[in-house]
Amino acid sequence: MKEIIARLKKDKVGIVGVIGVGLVLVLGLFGPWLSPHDSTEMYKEHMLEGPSATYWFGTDEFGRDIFSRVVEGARVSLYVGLISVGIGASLGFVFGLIAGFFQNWIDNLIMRIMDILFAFPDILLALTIVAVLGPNLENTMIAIGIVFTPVFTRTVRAAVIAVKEMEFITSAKAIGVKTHKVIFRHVSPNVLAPFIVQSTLALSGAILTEAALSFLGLGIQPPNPSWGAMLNESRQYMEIAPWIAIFPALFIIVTIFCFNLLGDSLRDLLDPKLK
Amino acid sequence: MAPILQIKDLQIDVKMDEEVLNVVKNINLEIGKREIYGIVGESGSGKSLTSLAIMGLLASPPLQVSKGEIFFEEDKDLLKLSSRELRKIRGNKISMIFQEPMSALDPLFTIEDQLMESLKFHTKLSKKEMKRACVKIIEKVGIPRPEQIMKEYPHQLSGGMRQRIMIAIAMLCNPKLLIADEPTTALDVTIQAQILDLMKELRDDFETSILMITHDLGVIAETCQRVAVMYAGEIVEETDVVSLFHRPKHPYTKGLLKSMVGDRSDALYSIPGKVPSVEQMPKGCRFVTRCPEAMDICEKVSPDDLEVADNHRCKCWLYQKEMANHV
Amino acid sequence: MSETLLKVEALEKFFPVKAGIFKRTKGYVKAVNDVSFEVKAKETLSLVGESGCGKSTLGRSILRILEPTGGKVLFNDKNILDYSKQDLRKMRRDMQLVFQDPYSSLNPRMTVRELVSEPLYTHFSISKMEADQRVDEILEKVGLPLEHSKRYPHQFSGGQRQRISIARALVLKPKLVVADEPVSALDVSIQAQILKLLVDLQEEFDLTYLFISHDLNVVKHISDRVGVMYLGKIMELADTEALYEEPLHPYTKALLSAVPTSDPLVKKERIILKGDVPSPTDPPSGCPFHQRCPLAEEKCQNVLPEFVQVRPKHWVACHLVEQ
Repeated sequence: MKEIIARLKKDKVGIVGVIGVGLVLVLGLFGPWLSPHDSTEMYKEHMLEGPSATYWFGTDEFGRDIFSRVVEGARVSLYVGLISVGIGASLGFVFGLIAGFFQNWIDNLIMRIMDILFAFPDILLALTIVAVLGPNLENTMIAIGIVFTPVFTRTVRAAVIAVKEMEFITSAKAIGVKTHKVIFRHVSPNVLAPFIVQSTLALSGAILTEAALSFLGLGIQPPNPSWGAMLNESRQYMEIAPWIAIFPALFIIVTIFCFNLLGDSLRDLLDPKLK
Repeated sequence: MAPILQIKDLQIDVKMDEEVLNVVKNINLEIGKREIYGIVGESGSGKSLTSLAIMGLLASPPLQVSKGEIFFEEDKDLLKLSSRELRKIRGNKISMIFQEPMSALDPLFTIEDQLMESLKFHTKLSKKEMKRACVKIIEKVGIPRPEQIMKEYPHQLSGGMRQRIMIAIAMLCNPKLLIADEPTTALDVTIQAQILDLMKELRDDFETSILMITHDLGVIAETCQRVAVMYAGEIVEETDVVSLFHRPKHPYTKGLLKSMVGDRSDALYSIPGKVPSVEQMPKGCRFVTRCPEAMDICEKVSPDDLEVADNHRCKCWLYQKEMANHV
Repeated sequence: MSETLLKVEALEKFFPVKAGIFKRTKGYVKAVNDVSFEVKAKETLSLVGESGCGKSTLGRSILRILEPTGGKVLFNDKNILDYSKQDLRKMRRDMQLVFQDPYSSLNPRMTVRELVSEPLYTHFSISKMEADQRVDEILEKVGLPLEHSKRYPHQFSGGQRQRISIARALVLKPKLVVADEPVSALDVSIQAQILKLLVDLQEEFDLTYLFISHDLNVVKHISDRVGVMYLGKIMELADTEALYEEPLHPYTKALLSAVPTSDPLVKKERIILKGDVPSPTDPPSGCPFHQRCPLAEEKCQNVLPEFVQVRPKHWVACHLVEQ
């Protein structure tokens, strides 16, 4: 662990990623204590006001404080991102490991199901799932998790197949190591790198998908904010009050950027060869 | 006779983040016309870097030639030519073959395409003439049914065949110098014997000089007239092949010859330790950490490259001291 | 005469060649085709041959890393091809494999200590202290400094990595070690170091080696007996000296003559073979070597020569060798 921190210190891009993600996490965790106003409180006399000392990011059409809503939205976006990627990544890891290691009829079955899921456009698939399960935050997370499963399955399966051909797997078998131990001790650690990179990329994808679903009115329900939902609401006032759109959009962009930076440097950190 | 290639005091450095480390130093050698000249050394000895420097193919950055001259056909300093002039010489007057014939051929093109490409660039022949030249060269490298082979793709050929094709491409423009970087290392012994035979034959037919780069002293003994032994980026000994095998001077050459697991000695001999890394290069003689005859001075000062016998150079304090005593 | 540790009888390993959408079997690659030989306890038997001759497949089939498709492998007089998975796993303690490529044969995410102790934890329920002690012991034996045991494989040179591989194979004190080209990927000056180590360890642990290599020079110094393989079959098998001094099979002769000399003044009589090794998918009829054999007769094209003992302890598969 010490070593990882020491190496991270040298990686300037990684530090930017860590700090950025750290800040967003702080926003998400301590949001309610950080925001100057209640995120759903309407200040009727201050509708559509630009940024000021009281309302740092301005107010929306109901006179709600944009800054407080962005902070509150960070919590929702991160929550959705982490949980849904958690669902997709775990499912994908297990499926990919099984499919790649055994490469028999199970592989065929898993991969054909993934192909079918892959064939749908992300949003359409998520929309369908949410429509079936009913529009609320939990179902949105499940939907996004399912949407991301095929990507993880494929990434992990490809990595497993590559690792399986390495001689150290044969070596483990020659020593008499049991199959499940071969999978856990020798195969899994060596597919982690692409898996983790995929996870951070998917995290930003999940935040975007949540934004898109909320934008379509299927994610979080009003008056609660998420960055996507805020963008959705800002549509009609884009011309007269651009700050309603700009701030949540800015936060989406910066967050995703930082997650991607973090993913890249994590991949390098986890590679013992680059020590 | 005037040499076809002359390297004078070549030095190659690698630029790391902030420091500059030396990888190849003090390379002096001359390759005569029709000569097969060998450079032998272990991995990391700098033998391949030297050959890449001749071709102007060093990965720069981080590698760079920081000193020296490489004269081709007496007057052209290859290091001073523009990249356009160099391209004209490369593949035409100087060509190169590599260890891995599979990765050196483009899998998407037929053998014919790959042969023609080089001709198109370097000659102004008509298509028919080019094709005739291709067939001729394929026959020359000992491949039966050239017309059929030309329509095939690299993966359809065996390793030995692919190396023959690589040699055919290299010989297509009748080069003055052929640089062969471990040309038979990836091949089986019976195929290796075929390829080495072919190279000697081509040298006679085309009057080409060959720079043979290898780790295998057996290949050197089979083919070369002169040899340079490289260790950790320096030539430690340079002489004709018979002197090298029968009257080796440098302790490293002696060790290499002894550790040749061959028909010579019966006990297994090995040079202890390993080649020092670029970061931990000894200050004096670079072989000092593994030398059985190391003296105090070897650790502190690098020995000079001295003529220790007729046409026999060696870079070692054992001989420098001896000569100093004589004077 | 010492006892036989390993006896291979008519061993076969055919790989099906599948083609088409329905993956129908179109034919077989006969990688190992009717091979029989014995290895005595504590001896070194080497198998040499060019790439594609099936020598590595043979080594792996004997250890059942690849499942043989026919024949018998008798280890201590028991046919291990009949073993259940559990029995086989237990048996692996006694038969180990050392690989050619010291770069891909070690898990890059495990330290030296983890790598070398893994076999111990796999086969015994021992305490960490005991395991550590045995790892220390074997690391010392193979010449790896103990302070390096927390490092990862990529921090070592090729020769040192091969030492790790050897330590990993020998920590269980096996009886038989199949060494698959253990020095081919190493530099000349390092090759001898590793060969010497293998010879020393053999003495110390009473090991039996089945040594697989393409390099006749390497094999000469460490083998008691040598077998020459071609297209999935053993062509000649004899004591080392007999094979090098008086080779009987034309292929062995050609192979020996192709080895580069170590003296530029000695010009060897060279037999240059025509063409390449034929594809094992479609091996020639009769003697597998007849297409490239400089002495081939009509009989060779049609009749497969039997592998017979023509002199004491000297087996050959060739029509032209008189019994």
